Amino acid sequence: MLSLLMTLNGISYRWKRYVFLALGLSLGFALILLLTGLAGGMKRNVTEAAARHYGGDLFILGHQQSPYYTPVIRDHAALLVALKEAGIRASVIVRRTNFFENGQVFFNGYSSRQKTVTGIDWTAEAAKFAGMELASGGFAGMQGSNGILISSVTAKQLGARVGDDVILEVDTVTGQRNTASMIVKGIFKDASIFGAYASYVDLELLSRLIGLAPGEYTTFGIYLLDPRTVSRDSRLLYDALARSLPMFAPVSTQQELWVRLGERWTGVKYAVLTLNGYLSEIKDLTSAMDAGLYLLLLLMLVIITLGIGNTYRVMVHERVREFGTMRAIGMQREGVSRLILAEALLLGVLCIAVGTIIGFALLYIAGNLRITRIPGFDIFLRKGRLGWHFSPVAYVADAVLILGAVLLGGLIPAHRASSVEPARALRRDA
Amino acid sequence: MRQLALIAGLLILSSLLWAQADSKDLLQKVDSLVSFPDSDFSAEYTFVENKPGEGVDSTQAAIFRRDSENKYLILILAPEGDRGKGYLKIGDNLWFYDPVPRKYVFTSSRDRFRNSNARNSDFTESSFASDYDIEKAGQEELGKFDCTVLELKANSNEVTFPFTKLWISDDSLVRKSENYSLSGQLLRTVLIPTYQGIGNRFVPRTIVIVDQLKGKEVNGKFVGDRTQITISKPSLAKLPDNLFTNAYLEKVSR
Repeated sequence: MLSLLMTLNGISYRWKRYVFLALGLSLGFALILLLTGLAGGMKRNVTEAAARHYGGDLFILGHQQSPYYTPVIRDHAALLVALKEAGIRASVIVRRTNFFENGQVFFNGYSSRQKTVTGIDWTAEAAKFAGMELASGGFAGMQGSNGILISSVTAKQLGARVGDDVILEVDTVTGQRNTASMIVKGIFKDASIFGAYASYVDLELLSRLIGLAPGEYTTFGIYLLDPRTVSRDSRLLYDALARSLPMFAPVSTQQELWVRLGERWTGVKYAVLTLNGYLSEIKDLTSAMDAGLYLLLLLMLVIITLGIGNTYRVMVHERVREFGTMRAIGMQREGVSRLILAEALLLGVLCIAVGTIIGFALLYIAGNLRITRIPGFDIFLRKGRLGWHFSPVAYVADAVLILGAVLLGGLIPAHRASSVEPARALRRDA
Repeated sequence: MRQLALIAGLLILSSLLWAQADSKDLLQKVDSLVSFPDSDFSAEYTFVENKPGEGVDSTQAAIFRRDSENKYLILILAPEGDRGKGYLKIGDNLWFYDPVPRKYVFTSSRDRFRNSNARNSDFTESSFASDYDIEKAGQEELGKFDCTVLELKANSNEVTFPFTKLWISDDSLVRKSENYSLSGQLLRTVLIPTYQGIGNRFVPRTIVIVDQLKGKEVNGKFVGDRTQITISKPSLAKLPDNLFTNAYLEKVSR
């Protein structure tokens, strides 16, 4: 108690000297919060966009090899039973038909090759598509219609607007060219690797267009209530499916699945894949983001440590008589050292409180800024904004790091203060 | 009266069957005149792509075919930047080779040849008779040619163009064809105004392929992207066996 009072007294007595240090420290913590929050938001946006692009957090994929190769699911009822048996807590279950690489949209003589054309069950996925930023039009009335949702990149290439008639060309599963006349119902803003050359149409329409039988589709997607359980859920789902359906050996990435597709089999065989299994292409990106963030954090922590160290070094020099007196009236070396460290720690806690307020205010402003002029940045945005995302663990980790840096900076001055000889200190200025 | 109706019906039916058989014979003749099952075939192809408003692009390639084994090799000769790239087809497998990274990419006969209006399948032997059934036959004038017009429907679901319409001149050579998608959308028109004889077979001298979906509005009218293919130096001389191998493609691409 006495130590705390002495600490508070030390700070309040010299508040003018502390004010700049506190300001710097608060801003430093606010900046760390800003960086961590924005990075969290960017990663969340990437994952959300990826989940929307692929249609879930966890997937069941069916493949047939003969008489011709095609991705197809025919046992919808059996998949639902397996999902129930596995005890997986799903928020949404979706059926999708994906057509990769060879789709083209034509309008007025212009063409745009699509990386993916996806057939969507709009009734099931409406809520998930609410996160998509639309430039014009919308996805109301898409279910059961010949509407198509194209990206702003595709719309620009084609010179197409909402309401225009376009032609969608795909190959059937047996390799025949097929076309359909479509109406542009909506144009979405997404220049990222997921969305720039993606278009969305009605599930039944695309399934029919590529030659699947009624009720057949290519991907069974599961949005989990808690995506953090995806690895465990994937194992449970695989085991449940394996009890009633022919399965490929377990795979953890899309590349591993491609290897399995080189095997020989008959009928439809199934695989379970997680969203992470699809995301090897953006894992490098998020890893680079993390590396950049850690580098910045490290830099901030070094600056804070050096700042605290320098300030306290000067303070210890100025307060040498005070420490000498303390020592002369019986305070032990450890006591002086603890006093300095407690002052620094208290300062750190106060600055974390102030920094939290400033940091969240900055996050609110930065997260809501519309970002439109950075090419290829759409992958990190949600409705054109960065947004922000914090887990309590990340906040506590940031706070602990700051306090650690403050304590580290105060260590050497504290050691110096504790080493003051009372007689020499009191003789000084005498 | 009933007997008369029956006889008339039988006459109509037999004439239809006869016409059908006759048309099928015609298709087989069309195929046989431009295929080389008994010999190898090689020639130089020049592709000139004309995209309205975007200028002209030219590619030169040497093509080597062995129809009897369902093989072909296409070697790009020009432009300089693409020299050495090539396609190798063996059976149902088709690879594209790029000599810079020295990599093969598995590709499809259905894909466009170098993003032109030609398909990789356009370089294989003609197989109208085996791929299609005749839906309708008629007569039509096409410029200076009196043509038999056949409307064809693919008899398997693996034929790239499910519907095709052919204009065949009196000499059993295809002068024009239209390729349609499964839903009946016209995708491209192919014109073959002139042929050159080689042995007892024929090779087009020029082929014009007009895309019906890609192009530009010119003076209020849609003008499709055009690819003109000129075929020169055709030969039926025997080709070495090792020509249809990856090793050969890699060697000549260096």
